[in-house]
Amino acid sequence: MKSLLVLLGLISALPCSLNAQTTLRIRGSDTLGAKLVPQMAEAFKKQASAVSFDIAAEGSSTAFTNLASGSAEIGMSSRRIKADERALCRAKGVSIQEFEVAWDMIVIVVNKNNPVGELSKKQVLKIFAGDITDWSEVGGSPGPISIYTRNTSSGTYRDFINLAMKGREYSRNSQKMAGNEQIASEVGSNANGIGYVGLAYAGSKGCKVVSIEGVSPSVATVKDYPYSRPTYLYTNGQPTGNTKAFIDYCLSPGGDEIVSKVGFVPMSKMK
Amino acid sequence: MLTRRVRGSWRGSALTQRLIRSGFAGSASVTIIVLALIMLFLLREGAGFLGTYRRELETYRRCGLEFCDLVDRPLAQQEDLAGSLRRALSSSLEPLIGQARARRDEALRLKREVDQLTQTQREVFEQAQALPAAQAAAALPEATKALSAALKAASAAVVIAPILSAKQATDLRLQLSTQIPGKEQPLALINQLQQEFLRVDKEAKARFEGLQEAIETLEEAPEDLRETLSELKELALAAKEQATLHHTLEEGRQKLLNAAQNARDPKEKAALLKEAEASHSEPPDESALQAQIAELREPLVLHIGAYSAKVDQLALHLPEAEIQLPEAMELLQKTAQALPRHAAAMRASVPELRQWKADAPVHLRSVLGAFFFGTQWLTNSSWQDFFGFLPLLSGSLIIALIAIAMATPLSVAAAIYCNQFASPREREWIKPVIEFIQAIPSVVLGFIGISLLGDLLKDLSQLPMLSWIPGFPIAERLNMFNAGCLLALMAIPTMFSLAEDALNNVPQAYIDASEALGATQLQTIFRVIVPAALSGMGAAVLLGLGRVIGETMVVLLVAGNRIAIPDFSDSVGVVFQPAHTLTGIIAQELGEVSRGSAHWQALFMVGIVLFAISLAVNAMARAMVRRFELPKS
Amino acid sequence: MSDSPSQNPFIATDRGASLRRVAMAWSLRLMTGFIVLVTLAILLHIGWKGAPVLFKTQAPFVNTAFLSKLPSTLHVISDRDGRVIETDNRGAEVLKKQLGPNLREEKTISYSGGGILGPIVGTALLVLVSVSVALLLGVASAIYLSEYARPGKTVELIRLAILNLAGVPSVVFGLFGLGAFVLTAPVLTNSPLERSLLIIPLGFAKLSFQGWDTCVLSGGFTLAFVILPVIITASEQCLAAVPQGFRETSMALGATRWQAIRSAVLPFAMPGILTSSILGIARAAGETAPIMFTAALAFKDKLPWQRDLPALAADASWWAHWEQSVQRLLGLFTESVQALPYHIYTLAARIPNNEYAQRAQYGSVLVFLLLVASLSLCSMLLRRRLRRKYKW
Repeated sequence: MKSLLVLLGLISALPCSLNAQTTLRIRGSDTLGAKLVPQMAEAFKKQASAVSFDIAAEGSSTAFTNLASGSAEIGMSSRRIKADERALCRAKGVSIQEFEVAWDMIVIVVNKNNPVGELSKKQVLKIFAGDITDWSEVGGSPGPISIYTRNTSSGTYRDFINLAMKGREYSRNSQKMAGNEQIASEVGSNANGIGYVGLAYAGSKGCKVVSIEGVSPSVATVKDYPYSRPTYLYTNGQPTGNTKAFIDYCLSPGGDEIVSKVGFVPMSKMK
Repeated sequence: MLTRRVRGSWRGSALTQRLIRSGFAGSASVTIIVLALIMLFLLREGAGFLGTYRRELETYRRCGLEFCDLVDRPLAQQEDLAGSLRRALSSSLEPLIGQARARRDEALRLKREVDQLTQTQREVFEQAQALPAAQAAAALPEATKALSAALKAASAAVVIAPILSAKQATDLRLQLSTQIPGKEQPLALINQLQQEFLRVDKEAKARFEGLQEAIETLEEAPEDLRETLSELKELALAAKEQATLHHTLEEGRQKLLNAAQNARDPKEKAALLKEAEASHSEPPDESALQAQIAELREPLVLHIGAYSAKVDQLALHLPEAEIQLPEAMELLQKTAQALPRHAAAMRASVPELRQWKADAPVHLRSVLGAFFFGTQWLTNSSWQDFFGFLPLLSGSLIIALIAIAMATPLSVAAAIYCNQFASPREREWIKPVIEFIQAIPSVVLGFIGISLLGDLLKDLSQLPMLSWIPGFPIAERLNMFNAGCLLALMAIPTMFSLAEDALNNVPQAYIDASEALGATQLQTIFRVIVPAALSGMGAAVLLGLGRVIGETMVVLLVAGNRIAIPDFSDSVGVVFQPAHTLTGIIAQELGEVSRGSAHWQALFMVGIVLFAISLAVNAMARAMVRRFELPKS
Repeated sequence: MSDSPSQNPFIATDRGASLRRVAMAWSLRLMTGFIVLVTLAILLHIGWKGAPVLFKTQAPFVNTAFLSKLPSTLHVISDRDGRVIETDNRGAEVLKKQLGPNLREEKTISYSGGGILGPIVGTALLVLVSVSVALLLGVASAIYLSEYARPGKTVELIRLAILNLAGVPSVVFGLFGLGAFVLTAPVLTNSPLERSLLIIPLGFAKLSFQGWDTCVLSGGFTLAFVILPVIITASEQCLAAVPQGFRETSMALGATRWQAIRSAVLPFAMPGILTSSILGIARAAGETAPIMFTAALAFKDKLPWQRDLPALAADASWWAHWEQSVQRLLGLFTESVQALPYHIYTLAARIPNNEYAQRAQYGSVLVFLLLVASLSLCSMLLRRRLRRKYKW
């Protein structure tokens, strides 16, 4: 009986505890959420220690589902919001505000022992679409190509389709990995592996970056490299309070410094 | 408190007793309620799936995406065929150019290695160079010295494969050791090897001109067709986008209108109505699209005809004379057989194209078929999402079979041993260890699969003496076999203790009778005890199977997450391919989809199927025990 | 069973038969040994790799930092002299200033720095909620089954339900928890959410079926149903082990059935029930799939009780203070937490396998395993002791 009362008390107290949030809940892209945003948060907290952060990075799509349901203050996305997502948020009474935080480059990585060091855009397309299935077809040593892609909710997954695949689908034989780091470690341990990761993960152990059409991805070549893309933070309406302070910090020179340290291209370089 | 009142009066006591009793009965029935609730909530979230998916498939048809796929599906084979021709070419080239390429690659590898070994010194040197002139003069010589020493040491230290001749090796070491930035000696040997490779490559290719031409013909054959098709595809996609947008907005508008109807405050009502008005959108008009499809239909058919003719033509003129290598020959012959089939498949799409109607209704039956027998699980696609169940089911089943095939003999053997042979002392050791396996959390086993077992299996598969095993050497360290091994370990404790119980339950009278008849211990065990316990062991295997199919973390981490029906052409080697599973897909994707979408509902449908499987397995195990129950002794 | 054929006077000694017996025994023994060996090898491997993280050679012999810090990003800084230093965010800042141009490169590895206090606390909270709920329901239903119920359709149905519940895949429990607790369970609130299934006005507030969101409570309840069958079965066994005579004596002295249960059965069964429920704790602590969508979080930089509440004025009433401390207490259960199994999943799936990450990985796995293993061991030993103590 007593425990039942306690239980009821707990349940009845839920709403009042849910209202007083000074935590910034950030949801969305793994590309941003695994490195950049947590480190932004750590640095930001040194300025304004009263704020605490809840970060979950399951893929860009989750940014919009969480914003729409009100379970996040900030959404991070490595792709631009889709029209139907905007409409969904709109239908839930959430008007989405967009902020470009940094540019990223999708880097094609192969195993470091793979002799292939350069691919053309067409070859990349054909490899990921499953038309080319053997390394010997692109000048490597013979061996079946193992393709690693991100999981389907990832913004990188969609961006890569748009940037590199001309809207075609990935090969059925591609393996879906939960995060950039996982792709890097699989490619690093599989001599016939190929995958794509954000620029920040290009230096992983055992991986080699492939240059595309002769352009190797780096901060300097961001404008020439074919697979460059902006990354975004989204908020519900014009940000206020802590949300605004955090977004402002991300766009400040201090934020830019972290952006380039983590391996993204800061917005100042894009002007 | 209650008991004190109980003492009060007899009537009160009876009532209280009944109350207490029904209180306990109520909490006992909580298990039934929970089972019902599980079913209820799964159905509540998942039941809408059929409707939603049907609507999506209708849009897929109405907007002409299906029409494009009628051509696109068979056409996909063209790339496969071109690929196998390309492989035939590269495997015929291989013996001619392999050596030269390996030499070049080795030289390049060595350069990379030396670069890596001397990186620190290189950085120091570059920094010194960047200094203003006065300081540079002081720092530079020292840095140069350090760098050249490091280069020398590194180029002496690297191990050069015997593919380079001794002279080449010494040359290369020498050239690598003088690579000081700014004063680089040209890497003559690498250039030379590269030139040589290019020359050999060119010469070799010249011998296979016919094959190259064939590849080119096949690659270029569908260009006109593809052009028309992509025009159509763009139209279809645009139409679909409009349709989804309209649907989402309309849904939101309806919600707002409903809210407005229920709102009491007139101000709020007006605001809601205004908002609803803002998301008003016109339903897209598809008649223009239909007209365009009709207009493009005949040109498309013409292109298909022309393309199939070209393919047929090519099949007759494959340059078989050029090829000597048996594996290349095999590839070529396979392609030659597949080409006419491909052409026929393309031609077969023509009547389908002609019959296709945008407004044909999608039957509920075909939606069910598309889910339960669909071969594609494709989500967040830019073209069309498909929720086909077969790839996941096949992955789950194969992994479960591997696990059961490994766990059954082991756990039955252990049970017989513990029950019949082991000394009490041994038993005291073995049982706790096996029972302890149950306490190892599944996520820990999954981690072991990633960090230890995967690499172990992969290294093992690369041993030359094991290459006779089908599927070896394995390409992916995360695969079904790896997951199966770990799941077998997880299933062993359950199966072991159930099998041991079954052995224990064999009436002593059976054993006594057998021994009285003069049977040896082995005869008693294998002709009396084990057969008598067989039904119990069968139930143990079934329950183990239930446990294995329902396991999530191990398969999510270890199975490799490739959503495709495994390729059975490699017979038993199929177990070394990666796969995705019913449980894994829920765990991986549920956190990422918005509530109420077709994807969300599809995942709950998978949950419903899993729930049904677990109930069925339980029922089967019970039925088995009851069917073969021993007479009570 | 120990008669070997040679002792059997009715058959001649048969060397072949005894050879066959030995061969059979040995092959079975080898297979059994294989299972035991693999298990021990896995445990040893984890112990070997994890021990350097968890233990130290100097007093206090345990790496207290690893157990008392929150997970954070690990910074690995190498300078031009070839030194490599690992530190946290704050340390990295200081170090970089010190090194100046001597800094060569800085690598950052998410989740691998700091310790695992957050996940441990989260798991403890989840276990607390789930075990209290499961014990309450489980013991009650065991009492019904063993003391009140007469054999019949109802009991059969309940037993069938228990069996089936035990077989439901854990990820399905996760789906159930998401649908039932996260999205539908009732809350008292003044402003119900749009997704609410049903709103009952109660006068002072509204009872809205809108769910508890992902929080300890949702996860704990979900886990409670995962371990419910274990607890019911164990409790029933313990109750059944109390001799019938106790009840009969008690009732013969005029006690009602409930009094008999309360005074003559439960006290003797309770120690057994509690020790068996430790197994339930181990199971609840080890499950990942049920909490994935109901409670767990990949990263959280505060402990559950460190909530940011508005600072109170100096002259705030005792009521305000009281209210805030209640909020703080409730906050323990109404927020998402990190949990050990989910943390291990994050470490295994999300970050690369290098020497820095490996330490966090194996360290957490070892701690987790030690926790779960000691619980199971406790339960096993206690049960053995109890069996010896209570002999009827």
